[in-house]
Amino acid sequence: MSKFRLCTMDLAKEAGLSVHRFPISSEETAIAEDALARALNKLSLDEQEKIIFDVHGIATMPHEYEDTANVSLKALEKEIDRISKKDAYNQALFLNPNFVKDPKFQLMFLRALEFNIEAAADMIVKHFDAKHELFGDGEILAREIRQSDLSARDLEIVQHGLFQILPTSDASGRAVICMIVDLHNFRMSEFVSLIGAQFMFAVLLCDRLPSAHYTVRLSEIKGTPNVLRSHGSAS
Amino acid sequence: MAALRDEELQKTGAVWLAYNMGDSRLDLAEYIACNRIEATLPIRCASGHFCFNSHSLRPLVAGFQLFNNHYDRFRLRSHFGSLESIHFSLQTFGIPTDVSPMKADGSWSTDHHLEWLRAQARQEEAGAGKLQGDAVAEHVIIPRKFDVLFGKSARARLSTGTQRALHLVDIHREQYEKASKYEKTDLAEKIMTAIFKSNGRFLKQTKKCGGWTVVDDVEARQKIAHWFRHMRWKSSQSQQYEGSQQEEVSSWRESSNARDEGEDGDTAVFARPTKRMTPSISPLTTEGE
Repeated sequence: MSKFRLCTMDLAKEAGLSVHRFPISSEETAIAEDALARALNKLSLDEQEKIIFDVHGIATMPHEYEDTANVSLKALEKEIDRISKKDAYNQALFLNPNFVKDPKFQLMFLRALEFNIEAAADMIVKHFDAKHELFGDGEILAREIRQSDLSARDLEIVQHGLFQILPTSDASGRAVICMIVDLHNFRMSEFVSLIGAQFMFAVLLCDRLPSAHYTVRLSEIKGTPNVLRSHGSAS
Repeated sequence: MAALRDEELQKTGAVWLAYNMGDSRLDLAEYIACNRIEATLPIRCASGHFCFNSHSLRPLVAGFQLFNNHYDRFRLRSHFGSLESIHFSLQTFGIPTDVSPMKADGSWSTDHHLEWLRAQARQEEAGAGKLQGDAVAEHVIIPRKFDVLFGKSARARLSTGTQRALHLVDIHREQYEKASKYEKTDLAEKIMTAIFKSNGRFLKQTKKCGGWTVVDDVEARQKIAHWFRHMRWKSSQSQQYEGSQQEEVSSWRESSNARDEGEDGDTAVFARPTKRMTPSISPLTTEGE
C-alpha cells in the first residue's frame, strides 16, 4: 500500500518497544510518550505550527493556480510512467482510460498528499492494486462502486453506523468523519468486518465519483486481517 | 455528500473523530490492516480526535501515535472522561458535538446516517442511467460553513451561511430601497457573488431524496430579493408597532391626566393597553420551498 501513509515502526524501535503490539503497561506507555515528545521536538517550528493550525482548523490553504495544477498533473503522469510494477493500474487504464486519466480523479490524490508528486503516483498505483485485490480485474476495476453493489451483510455493517459523517462540518468548514469502536457487536476475531465497514464507508463517501469505491464481501473474510477477498458480484 | 468529490474537502482535509467508549481495544495487527486500506484512499486527515472513557485505554492511545505515520502522528488528540466532558473538550476544537451520534449510555444514533444512505440510494437509482462509463451524476451534498440553506427548519435558519447572507442583505437594505429595478438585480447578484467567493452555495432540501441540492442562480437571486422585500415589510411592521405603542402611551397619559384632574373620580377614564402586536417573524418562514 502507499508507503507514505503507512504505519511506521521506527519510533517504537528507537524507544526499544515491541513492534508487534501496542504498549500494555504504564511503563511502556511512559516510554512511548517520551519517544513521541522527543520526536515532536525534532520537528521544525514551521512543521509544529502547521500541525497546530491543522488541528485547530486555522490553517490557510495555499491558492491552487490552474497552471500549477496542470504542471503537477503532467509531472504525475511521468511519475506514474516511471513505476514499473503497476499491473492493476494498466488493466484499469485498458478498461476505461477516461476514468483513470480524469484530471479530477488525479487531483484528488495530489491534494490528499499536498501535491507530493511521487507520493501521489505511488498512491494511485497502490489504489488500483487494492481495488484489484478486492474486486478482481473485472469492469468494476475501472468504474465506481455503487451502494447497490453491496451485499446484504455489507449493507448491514454500513447501516450499523460505525462510520458516519456528521451532518454539519466543523467550525472551519471541514467534514467530520465519526468512527465508533464497537467490539461488542463485532468481536475481535471478526474485526476485519470493521475494516470492511470502514473501507466501505470511506468508499461510500466517494459518492459515485469514479474513484476509490471499494467493498468487501465480509462473509468471505477469514480470520487474518490481510485476507481481503474480492466482491463476488463485482468481478 | 460526495465528501471526496468535494474540492473544498480535498483541500482542507477531513477531521476524524473516534469514540472508544468502554474497554474494547484494537490490537496492532488490526490497526495496521485498517491503515493498509486507508492508505490507498485519497483523503487527507487534517486532524484526529480519539475519545475514550476508560483509563485502561491510555496505552492504546500512545500506541496509535507511536505507530502512526509521520504525517498523522501529531495530528491526533485524545480526550478522556465522561461523554459530556469529552464533548466540551471537542468543542474547543470546533467540533459540532450537538450533531454527534454518540449518546451518554454508550449507544449511538443512526438517524442521519440512514437518512444519508437512503438519499444516496435514491440518487443512485435516479441517476442509474447516467452512471455508465465516466459520467458522474448529481451527488449528495453536505452543507458547508457558508452555504445558504433554504427551508423552515431551525438548522436552515440558524446556519452560519444563512445568517451571514441575511446580514449582507440587512446592511445593503437602504441601498436596495433606493435602487432602480436593474440596480436591485445587480445588488442581489453582488450578494450572491460574495457568497460564492466564500465558497458558499445556495442549497435546497429535495422532497424526493431528502438530500441537499444546489439551486440555480435565478432561484438564488429570487431568494435574496425576497429577503429584501421581507425586511422592508418587517421594518414597516416594526414602525407600525412603535407608532401604535406611542399612541397607546399618549392616550394613557391623557386619560391619566384626566383622572388626576377629576378628583371626584367620576370622570376618570382608565385606558387599558390594547393587545400586543408581534413585531415580525423570520423571513425564512414566509416562503414555501
